[in-house]
Amino acid sequence: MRQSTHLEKRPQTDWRVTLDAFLPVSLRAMVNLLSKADAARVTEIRVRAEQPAMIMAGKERVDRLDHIHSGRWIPTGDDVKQFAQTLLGHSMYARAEELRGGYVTLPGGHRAGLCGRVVLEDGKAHHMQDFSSVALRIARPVPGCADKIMPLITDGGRPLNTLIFSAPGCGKTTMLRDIARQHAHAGLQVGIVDERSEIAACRQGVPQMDVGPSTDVLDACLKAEGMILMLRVFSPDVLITDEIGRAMDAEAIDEASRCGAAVVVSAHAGSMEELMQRPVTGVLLRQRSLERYVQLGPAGQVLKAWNGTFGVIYQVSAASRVLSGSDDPTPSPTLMPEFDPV
Amino acid sequence: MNMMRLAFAGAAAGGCALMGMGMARRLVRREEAIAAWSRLLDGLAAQLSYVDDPLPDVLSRLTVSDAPGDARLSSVIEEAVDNMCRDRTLSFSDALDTERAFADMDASDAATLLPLVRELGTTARPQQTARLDSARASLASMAARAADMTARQKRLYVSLGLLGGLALFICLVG
Repeated sequence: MRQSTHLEKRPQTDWRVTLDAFLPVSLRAMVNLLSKADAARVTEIRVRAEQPAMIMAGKERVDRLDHIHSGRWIPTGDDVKQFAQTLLGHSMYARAEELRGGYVTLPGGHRAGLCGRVVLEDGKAHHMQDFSSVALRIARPVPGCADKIMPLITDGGRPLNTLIFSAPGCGKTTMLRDIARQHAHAGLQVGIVDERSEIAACRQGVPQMDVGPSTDVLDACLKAEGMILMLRVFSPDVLITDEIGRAMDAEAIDEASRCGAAVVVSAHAGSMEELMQRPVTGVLLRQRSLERYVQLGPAGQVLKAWNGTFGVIYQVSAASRVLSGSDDPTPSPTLMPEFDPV
Repeated sequence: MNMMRLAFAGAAAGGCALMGMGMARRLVRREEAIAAWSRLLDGLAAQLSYVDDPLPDVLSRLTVSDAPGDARLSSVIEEAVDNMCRDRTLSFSDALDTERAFADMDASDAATLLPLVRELGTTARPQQTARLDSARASLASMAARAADMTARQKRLYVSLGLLGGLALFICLVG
């Protein structure tokens, strides 16, 4: 497997440049007050009606309101509605389907979550109006974050059926995106079934994230249906999808591996035991459909990896975790049968 | 002196006749403007029923017929689309030069269309469709009234202008 190089990575544009056209004048002024270092840390911007706008880096506010009071922006209800309409491209009818998922994708893969009054139809959320708050989430792709995982999920360049799991917020989606990019750069045909538009962050069908030169994306499509469709139409070498959880997902994964495509999927689970207890992943584990299981820790660190027969092939040493917060890239030389779900 | 009187009377009479024809022309232009808006909204409703493209894309795709009112309206719409593309914070109503868009219409026509202009793109599809349908229905009745008014009053204004001009000429010369 060829390792990613700097030249292969799509150049990243500063989020301030990408989003500039969407921001109201007052918010733009606040954003422009940020230092370069702070701007690089920003994770989201929160705008609520009649409340001061906040620029966040994780849990920390970086908008310097304590220092520069003139930069304080307290939007009115109309300001928030207008901002929301701008994010929707003044074409709400066209983004209603996306909005039903709670957010819309912006250029650069950034996403805007909107809150307002939900209008129900037949007891289901149909659309939203009277927007009262906006959460602008800054997308920050991490090209190369899958460098350490690639040797574990390939065998002499052949992609292996892999399940990546972790607790929420550990970077499974970011990892899947970089796996897709690296497989695509290695000359494989990659198919992504992106039910929630999170992996490739498609906007009007075009991936906003770098997912590689030979990657096809089926956007906003149900995973199981999408996987079958992708197999039938594009015959990918690697099929990637996020957060499996329905019974039909397991069937589709089984079908894909029978068709010769390697499947790389992710699931929420804090441990292998939890994975086993979940209905869908439990079935996959019992069927032994997969060849690799990889557990991620905080910030996308690879904690542990198992082969298809649940022998541990890699485990981060406690010492390296304490000392550097990063994992030891050398896979464990011996297979340690540790977990048998059967 | 007589020649000057004749010339002045001729100019005044011509002016009077032109005024009559101008008033008739305004009726025709209003009818054309209503028809142009009607065709625009028909096209928009048809597009919105099956496409999910952003409003500027939809508007720029609408075909323009050879009808006289269409060229005037489409240039205003094109300008609004350009404004929306240049400044993403502008809504359709902010981007549209309403004075030019409703230039040939009377105040009540503009008042009928303004709610639609303000709401275009800002609501979900069912509301957009309902608003469009309501505006199209209003335009249909406005178009019928305008056609009726044109048929009745166009000749009247032209005749009044010509007769007034003639009367003025006779008064000034006689």
